[in-house]
This record gives sequence, structure tokens and C-alpha cells, in this order.
Amino acid sequence: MLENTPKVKLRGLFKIFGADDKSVLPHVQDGMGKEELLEKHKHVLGLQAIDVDMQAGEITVVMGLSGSGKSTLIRHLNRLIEPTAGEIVVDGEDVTQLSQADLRTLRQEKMSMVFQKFALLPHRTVQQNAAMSLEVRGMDKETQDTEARKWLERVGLGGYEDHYPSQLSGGMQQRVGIARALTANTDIMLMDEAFSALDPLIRTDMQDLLLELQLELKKTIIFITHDLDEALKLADHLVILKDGAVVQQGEPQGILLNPADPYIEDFVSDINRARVLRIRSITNPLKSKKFAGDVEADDNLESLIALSEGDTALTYRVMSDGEPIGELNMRDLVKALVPRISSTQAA
Amino acid sequence: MATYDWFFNALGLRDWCDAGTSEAPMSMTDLLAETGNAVEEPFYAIPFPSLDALNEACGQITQTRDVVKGLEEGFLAIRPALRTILDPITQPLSWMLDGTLYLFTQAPWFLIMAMLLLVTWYATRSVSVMLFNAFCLSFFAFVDHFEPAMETLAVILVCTVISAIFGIPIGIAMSKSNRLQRMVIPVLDLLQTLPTFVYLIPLIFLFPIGESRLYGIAITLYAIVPIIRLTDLGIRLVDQDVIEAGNAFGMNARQKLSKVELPLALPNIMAGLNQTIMMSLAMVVIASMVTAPGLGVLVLRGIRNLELGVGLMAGICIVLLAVMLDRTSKAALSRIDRAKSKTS
Amino acid sequence: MKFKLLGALAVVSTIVVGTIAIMSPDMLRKTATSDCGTVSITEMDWASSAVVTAVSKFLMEQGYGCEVQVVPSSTVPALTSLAETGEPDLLTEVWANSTPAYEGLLAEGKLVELTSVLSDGGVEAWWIPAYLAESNPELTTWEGIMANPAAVGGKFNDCPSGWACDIINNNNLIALKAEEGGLERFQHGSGETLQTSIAAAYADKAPWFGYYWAPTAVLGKYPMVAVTVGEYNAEAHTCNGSVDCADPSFSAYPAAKVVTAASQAFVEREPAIAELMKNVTFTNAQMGEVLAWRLDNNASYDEAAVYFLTNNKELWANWLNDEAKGKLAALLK
Repeated sequence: MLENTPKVKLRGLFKIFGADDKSVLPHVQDGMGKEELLEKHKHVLGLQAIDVDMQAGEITVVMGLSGSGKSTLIRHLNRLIEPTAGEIVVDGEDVTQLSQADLRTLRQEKMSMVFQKFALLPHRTVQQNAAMSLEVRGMDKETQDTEARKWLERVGLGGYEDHYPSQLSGGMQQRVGIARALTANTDIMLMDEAFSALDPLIRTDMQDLLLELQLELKKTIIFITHDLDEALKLADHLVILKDGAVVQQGEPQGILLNPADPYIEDFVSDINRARVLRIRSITNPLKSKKFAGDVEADDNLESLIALSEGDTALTYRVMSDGEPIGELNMRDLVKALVPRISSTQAA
Repeated sequence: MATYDWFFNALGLRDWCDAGTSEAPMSMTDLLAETGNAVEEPFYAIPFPSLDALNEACGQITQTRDVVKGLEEGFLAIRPALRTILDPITQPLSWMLDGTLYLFTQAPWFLIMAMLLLVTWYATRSVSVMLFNAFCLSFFAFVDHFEPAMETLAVILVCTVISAIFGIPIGIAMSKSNRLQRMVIPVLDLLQTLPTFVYLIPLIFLFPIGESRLYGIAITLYAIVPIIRLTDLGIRLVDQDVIEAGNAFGMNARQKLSKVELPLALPNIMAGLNQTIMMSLAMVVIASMVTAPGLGVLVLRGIRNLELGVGLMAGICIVLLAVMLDRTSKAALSRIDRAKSKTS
Repeated sequence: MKFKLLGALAVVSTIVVGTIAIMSPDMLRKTATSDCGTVSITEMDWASSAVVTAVSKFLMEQGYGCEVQVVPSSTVPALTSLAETGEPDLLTEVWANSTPAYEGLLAEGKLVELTSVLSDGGVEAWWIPAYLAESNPELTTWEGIMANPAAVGGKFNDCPSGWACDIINNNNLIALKAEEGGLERFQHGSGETLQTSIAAAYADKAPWFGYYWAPTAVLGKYPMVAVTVGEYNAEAHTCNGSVDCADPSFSAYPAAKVVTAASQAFVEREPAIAELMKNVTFTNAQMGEVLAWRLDNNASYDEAAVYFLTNNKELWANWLNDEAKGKLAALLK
């Protein structure tokens, strides 16, 4: 599979909420902002000029604060919300052009979804909920049963098949939600703030579960969140939205090190950079001959600080898969700990 | 000198007006005026420009009584057409009522009791409800009201079934379309408030009086309203998140209805059914005025003859019947509503 | 601020309207009555009774200066109320034969019979429509009907449960062995459906056979022919009036005594009015004419009373005492 052909491509996506969205579109395309649109035309600007590529087998995290349009965006991918303008291309076909019947097929076979508030059927057992996608597709009872049980086992709910959702805790209900999405056996998984309703410890467990599953399954996951730590932990590709527009997108470490504008800087200012930044992000090419030691490229800076015991004169060799790929001087590391302020405020 | 003469004079319609004669019968006020003992009308007693008031001033304007007469004649004119449409539609109702009445009254009492208690058990799986029903049925038999009670029960059951068969689909359709809902709600209000005799008496012109469909229609039209309303409400109140999940996994409308909406709306629908049963019972006496058999006949007899005891006893039986049906349907509801009953 | 103003306005207008209403001419007139006080009179739920009430009310108010209160009611509740509480004062159109309780109350002295308001007596009989009598003259006799019950529709339209005629007709039918002969007894649920079935049959020119009474609007509007079954037999009729009649035999209905009744206390309290009501009577022809006119002209009961009053001045003039005649002199010219 070519790296260059993204699994999901969004081009020029616009969404305006209101009765005459198509007619006010030109104003937005000319550059009218959210407040002005609301005041002058009584329409709400949901998304503007979204251009995003999502690669197969990666976790793409779309992040933003409330009202940024992230929930709207994810619902465009399976057309739960109809776009005002733009293209949504999945595996080469434009979702916006699909008939209702084809759209249903897309939703059944290509995309599954996990919801913030779990959205399980309260009158069905855990197993029946997990098997829902297969039931909708009309598969025989046996296949439904085996697949559902398999995935429930995989997410750690073996033994709970005959319980009802109301008997499970929040974390367990979301596991059912994930099992449901996995049972659907789709290439693409949409996760709408899937862990936001869970308490922090459970949330960490679920994130670890997701990463573990992803190692094995390599699905194309589009994940929505407002939590930066979660985004940084999960994302292979990070998209940051503000007021319906993409502010910056790219590799998370890259965004951290090179925020594009004051908004992003503000955003990332509070995180624990030592814990989040990886050594490989600030590795420099091999130059020196003598090193204080070897470190793994994927370790975070915190571990290296601990190792160096705070001595900024040291230089370490950076290894990846047993091969040296570069070096890192402790002074560079310390510099990286300080958030970059934009050029308007001189360092 | 009529109050509104000035209006027609001002419009220059005096000649045209006088061409039409005011043939109204003399009214009491006119007669009183002749006696010379006429009551002084206070200065502010200006009549509203109603048809009758305008007719006094201008003979061409029809009187209200002519409008009323027009309604009657209009109805008589469309009668044959109405009959050809309504007759085949309502014939099954007559058959169902006659058949069920026959079954309930001809079968021996122990058979009916056994059948009813069996149905109760199957629906509710509750010993206390079954015992209560057994007690009520025995009470009816003990005071020699068994047959009327069974007749009433038969009528109620048939009308409830018909109400459910027609009401639930209408409610579903309403929940899907705001426009339909806007059109249907006034009709429902009308059905619940229009005095029954207003539409029943014209119906006698369409179907012979002996037909059971007359009171069947009366009861059904009144009792169908709660189930329509509550089905509509129930489906609209289904958690939108779950509907969204259904959509996201590619359900079509039929699948959504059967797998998500109806099961989740079921508590409300059952509440509607319960209310339908209660409303049917409320109509028992009026139905008897249109020749429905059962406890209503006894109540009417009690009222007309001032036999207080007869009326009271029949009334008590109706109440017991109501409580029986209420408890049975509620117990059946809570059993169906598994999700609620399994809450930890 | 706006709401306070509106609220104040509402209160003030209520007070104003209320005062005007209280001071209305009715109230003013009340304080000016002479000898007659308040009289309560029933208005039964059938046409002829309502006409009687309307005419009586007019005469009492205009001729005697009474304050008349009309009480809508029906036979049995009115009788019971009069017997137990002495109210209402006047009961119009009590069909004595059809009301088992009546004779007993009369004997006990709980009420006083003033007059037969329908002087010819009411007619109770079994009828077929005129068009049916014309096309099949044999159906005007019982034998004719029994020979071919299907020709009259195969059923006898009977009174609702609770009416006296229900028991009487049932016993008569048993005596005549109607059921075995193929005539089904169909009991209507209410008087309304009974009368509507006649109207509906007429609209379709369909066969009809059953019980009804005159003078009524229905019999006035739809010509019916009485079926000859047999003669009146006092003994048989009395037995037929009871549910426990062991061996019923047929009896035709006698001319029904239709009376105006009042309490003894009322007669003593308002002797002039009692005298008036003794005189208020109608022949079947007179009442029938009024009722037919009412139907043809879609008139109200009040208007029907007016029709009667304007067209029968000499008649009702004789009902009044001299003082009343004087008060209504303007009308009687």
C-alpha cells in the first residue's frame, strides 16, 4: 500500500448550520468569520476549508476545544451530518456522492463508531450489543455469536456476555462499545471522545488497550478528543481545530516543538514536556565520538534527565532498533524543555 | 329598527337587502316588546354582528338556523357515498364484536374463567395479580353479574385490540413527520372532546341501529387517542444517541424501528395501551346508550328507574373490571420492560 | 410595570362589569314584583313538555309577575325530588301510566294533580311508517305482521331499559308469542337511538316496526300508522306493567294520562298560579301543530311558544285571571 494514497481524504470541507447553508457559503469562502456569519445571516459556521489526509493503519487524532467543530468533522466521515461543500474520499470513492443504500453499506462494512456516551442498546445483552453490526448486515446467528464472544474476550469482558449494559460500570460499557466496533471488522474506526466520560485511571487503561489493539490490528482510527495528553499519547497524526478551521496538523512531537501560532503555543504550554517529548524528536545527527551512554529513541526526555542526573555537559548516543541514529546533547535537551514563544515576543 | 341597519344603509345595499325577506319566526324578545312590559335593554347591550343579528337588518343574509339546516341536508346528501366507503371498512369490526360477544357469553363460566386466568398468568407471571383477577371474576359471578361483566369485557378487549392495531402505526407515522403530527393532534383533541352523540346519531343513518359496529366505533374513536399520543411521544423520546449509533452502523429505517425505536418506546406504548383500556371502560355507559350490551345497560337502568342499588352494583363491577385490567396490563408491562427490571 | 397596569385594569373592569350585571334590569325588576314570588318549573327533555314550560313561563312572568326558574329534568328524578324535597314546584307533562311511582305518590298526598295538560291524553302505540302501510296494507294488523315478519324488518324496536314501556311491551310481546313467530325484540339503548332509527328508516324508506308515543316531534314529522293488535284491558295492562307478571296477556295502551303536578305546599303558597296551571291544557291537534311548525321552521322552544301565543290569543286569554288579563292587555288586542 502506497504511503501517498491516504485512506481518508478531506478536501475543502465546509459545514454551515442553518436553513440556507448553500446560499451563504460564498460569503464564508470569501473569508467571512463565525461571528459575522451569525450576526448577518443567522447561520452557524461549523467547518471551514478542512483539508486533512488520514493514512491507513494510523491513529489520526482531531483535537480542539468545545465548539471547534471536531464532533462535526468526525460525523462527516460517515455522513451522519451532510456537508455544505467539499469532498470526503474514502478508499478512492467520494462519500458525499453515495446513494442512501450505498451509504448504509459503507457504514456497515467500512466504518464503525465508538461514542462518548457509549450508545448501547439497553434492552439487549452485552453480547447482542457487540454483535449489532453483524446483525444489521444479516449474518447468521452462529457467526454473530462467535465473533462477538471473541472480541468481548479480547477487550477483557469475557464472562459478561449475558449481562445488560445497565449492570456494567462506565469503563466496562465503553469496552462493549469498542468490542462492538471491533466485531464490525471494519477498516476504519471512528471514536468520538470515546474516553472522555470515563474517570482518569480507567481512561489510561482504555488508552493502553487501544494502543495494544492497534499494534495488532493496524486499523485506521480517527479519534476525537479535547484532552491534549490523550492526543499526544495516541496520535500518529494530530490535527488541531479552532472555530471550525485546521490550525495545525502533523506529527505530534513536531507540533509541540514548532507550534504554528499563539493559539497552539497556549495550548501546549501546560503539558509536561519532559514526559511527553521523545528523544527522537530532538535528536541531532551523529557527530561526536565519545558518548556518556546509549539511549532509546522512543524514550521520553524525563528518563534521560534521570539518567544524566542533571549534568548538562553530557552527550548521549541515540539508538533505534539496535542501530545508532543520532546523538543528543543535554543542553539541547534542556532547551527543548522550554516552550518556544512566537517571534513577536523575543526570547 | 335593527341594530345593524346603519351598516347596510351605509354600503348602499338597502334595496338588495329588502329583496330578501326575513322569514324568521318571531322571537321571545319581540313578543315581550309587544306586551308593553318589555325589559329595558341596557345601553351597552349591543348584539354581536352574528348571522341572526345581521339578518334582522338585511334579509339576504342567511340565519344561523339555515346554516344548521344546510349542514343536515349536506350530510343526508353525501350519505350514500359515505355508506359505500364506510360499510366495508367497518364490517370486520361488527364481526369481531359479535364473535367475541358470542364466545364470552356462550362458553360456560369455568371455561372463561380458566382462559382468562391463564392469559393473566402468561402475561404477568405474577401470582398476586392472578389471585386478584380470580377474586374479581368470582365476585361478578357471585352477585349474578357475570354475563354482563363478560359482555363488557368482550367489547373492551375487541376495541382495545382495534385501537392498538390502528393506533400504533399512526403513532409511528406521526413520530416521523412533524407535519403529520401537526395535522393529527387537532383531530385527536376533537375525538376526545366532541360529544359522542354528535357523531353517533348521524352514524345511525348510515348503519342500522342493531349493528355492533356503532358502539364499537364510539368506543374505539375515544379510546384510540391515548395510544396514538403515547406511541408518538415514546418514539420521539427515544435516546438520540442510540439512534445515532444505529445510523452509524448502517441500520435502515425498518431496522431502526424494530431494533431500537419500538423496544425503547415500549414503556410509553404500554402506558398508552393501559390508558386506552381505561378510556374504553369510561365509555361503557355511553356505549350502552347506543345499544352496547353489558354493565352499562344495568347502570342506565339504575339511573332511569332511580334504582340506586342497581346502578351502584353495576358501577362497582365496572370499577373492579377497570382495576383488574389496569393491574394486569401494568404487570405485563413491567415484565416486558426487562431493561428496567434488571437494573442493579 | 406593564403587567401591573394590566392587572389593575383587569380588576377594575371586573368590578365594573360585575356591578352592571348585578344592577341589571332583571335584578331591578325582581324588587318590583307584586304578589307572586319565585316559581320553579321543570322542563323535560322532550319537545312537547318544553313547549308547555315555555308557554307557562311566559304567562307566569308577564301576567302574574313571578320570577320563574326553569329546571331541566326528566320524569323520574323530578318526581322523586318533588316527593322528597318539595321542589321543583311544578312538574310538567308527567306521563302517569308510564311512571309506576306516580300513583303511589299521589295516594300519599306528596303531590297534587293539577290537570291533564294534554287533554286528549297521550297516545302510546305500536307503529309502522305510512309508506309501508300504503304499500302493504295487511301490515297494519298484527296478524299481517306475524304472517310476514320480514316485511317490517323482522324486529320490534323497543324502549330502553328503565322505561315503563320496556316492561309493558316485553310482557305484551311474550303474550303474543312474537319471538316464536319470527319477530325479534330489539331494545334500544336510549330514546335518542329509538327516535333516530325512525328517521333513518324514513330516509331510506326502509321497513320499521316498534313502539312510540305522541305528541312528539318524530311522529309529527314522520307520518306513522298505528298497528291494530287488540283492545285495552285494564287488568291485563296493570299486570303487564310489572316485571313479575306471571302470565301476561295482551292489552293495548290506554289513552295516556299526562298531567301537571305540583306539591301541596305550592298550591297553598301560590293559589293564583295553581289556578292558572289548572287551565293550561293542549289538545293533541294543537300541540301537534305547534311541534310540526317548530320542525319546519327550525325554531327554538321559545319561538315555538311565541308561535302558539300569537296564534291562540282567545284560547289562553281564558286561562288567565282578570289581573293577568289586564297586564297582558297590550298583547291581547
